[in-house]
Amino acid sequence: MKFSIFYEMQISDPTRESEAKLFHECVEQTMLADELGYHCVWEVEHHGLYEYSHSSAPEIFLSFVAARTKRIRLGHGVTLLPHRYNHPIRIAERIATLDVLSEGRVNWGSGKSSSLVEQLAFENDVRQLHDQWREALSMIPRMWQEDVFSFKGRFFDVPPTQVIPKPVQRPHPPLYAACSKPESAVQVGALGLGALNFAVGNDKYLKEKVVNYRSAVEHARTDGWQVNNHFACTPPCVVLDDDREACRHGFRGARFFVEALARYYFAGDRPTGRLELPRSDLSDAELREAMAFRTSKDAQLTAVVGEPSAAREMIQRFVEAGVDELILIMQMGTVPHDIIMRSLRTFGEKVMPHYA
Amino acid sequence: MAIHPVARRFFDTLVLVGKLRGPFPFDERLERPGLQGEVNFELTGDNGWTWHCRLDSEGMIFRRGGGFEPVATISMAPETFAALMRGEQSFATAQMTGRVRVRGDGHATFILGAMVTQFRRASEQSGWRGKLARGWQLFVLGERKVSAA
Repeated sequence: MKFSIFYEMQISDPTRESEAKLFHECVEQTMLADELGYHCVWEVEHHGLYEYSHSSAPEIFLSFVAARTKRIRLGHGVTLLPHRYNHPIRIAERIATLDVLSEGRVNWGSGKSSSLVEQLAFENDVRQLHDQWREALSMIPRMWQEDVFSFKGRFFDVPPTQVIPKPVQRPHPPLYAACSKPESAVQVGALGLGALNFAVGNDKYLKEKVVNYRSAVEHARTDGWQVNNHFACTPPCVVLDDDREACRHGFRGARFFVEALARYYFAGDRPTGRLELPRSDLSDAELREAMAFRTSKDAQLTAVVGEPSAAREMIQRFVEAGVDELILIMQMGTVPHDIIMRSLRTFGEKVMPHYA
Repeated sequence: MAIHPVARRFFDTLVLVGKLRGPFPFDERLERPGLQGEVNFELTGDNGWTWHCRLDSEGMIFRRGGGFEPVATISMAPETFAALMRGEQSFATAQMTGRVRVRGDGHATFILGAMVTQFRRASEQSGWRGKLARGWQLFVLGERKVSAA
């Protein structure tokens, strides 16, 4: 099992000052994660999702992190492939440049965007997003492998062009794609891509999802890229020596994460301004119930929250489901920087060594 | 025992409207990530009941009673459902505490999240849609005000 960290760049009630501070704090967190032996830092791309995700330029953030770290991998994902967000040639160039400067540390994930906020801000035709993602995906790995690239498809007509520089990883950085439902995990597997999966479902459900993904990977048909058989989940996580303190921050942060996500993705509109969400601590009764329920057989595999032995108990369930990597969401809108730093250290010293 | 009034008014309105005009169409701009399939909403206890929801390319339609092969069954006490709709209970907290439980596809909890969020936000719309939503909210809850939990 590999352990990585995940950044939406969340912030509750931002000001100009606290937003700027957030970015520097996140860099400090990745430097500690590098020192402690975490596998990868994953950084999303979103636009206009105020409070939920201020990560609109992950390529800049990851370049900065690359310069400040030595060995941690740089998960650039997911990059939004529909061309109103990013032209495929620009993506190929940026990823390759980051791979060169970081000396081959890039993992690359792709997606198409699901929020109406960003879809309409960039004037996308939502009905074409999937096909645009698929076409751009078929192009980019070829740009990294071919000296002279040309393409004629539904959305792009590229005359013979030398797309430079080339990445240092051969044949190219490992490829991933976002998925959530069982059928989307199978689709990602059938394309030979690593799965970046939202950790929702009980043990049996997750295990079946992983098995079906692996089976699809075995028969994968790619457009000339290298198959990446890898299944990752993204649970919210706060691990501290004090179980109650970890749960207080972890469940509060997870609630902010999920409620903000629902607000942007499922409310059917395009919110602006401060999100109307609960932000305070859970009540004593709610916290007691959440602490008791987290390891129940009916609890879904959604979070790794608590003191180290409780965390190991939850992680074991992911191990038994066949998951390869946990991309831990410690940076949630209401979790303070010092708690994230302590959580990174506690997890790195008291949980990770059990899975080395 | 009688079915909990908030649940009965909410779901039975959706059942009735579905019968009169067919599935609720989706906004064609939305991709509805994860919002597909057949789901049972099971309200437990003496004044509970089960409703079935089908979401497909035609839209969303409800009926009373459970479906035989849902991708997920979402269960909770009727009082929890009422608290969710009034905005007194966060649906994320309800899942973390086990007040809302899911059997099957865990992704289906987002359908509950969408339902709760859209019900709470609908009254903020302007024009006749907002008036209709405020009237429905008043009918379902017996009061107009909802909060952010």
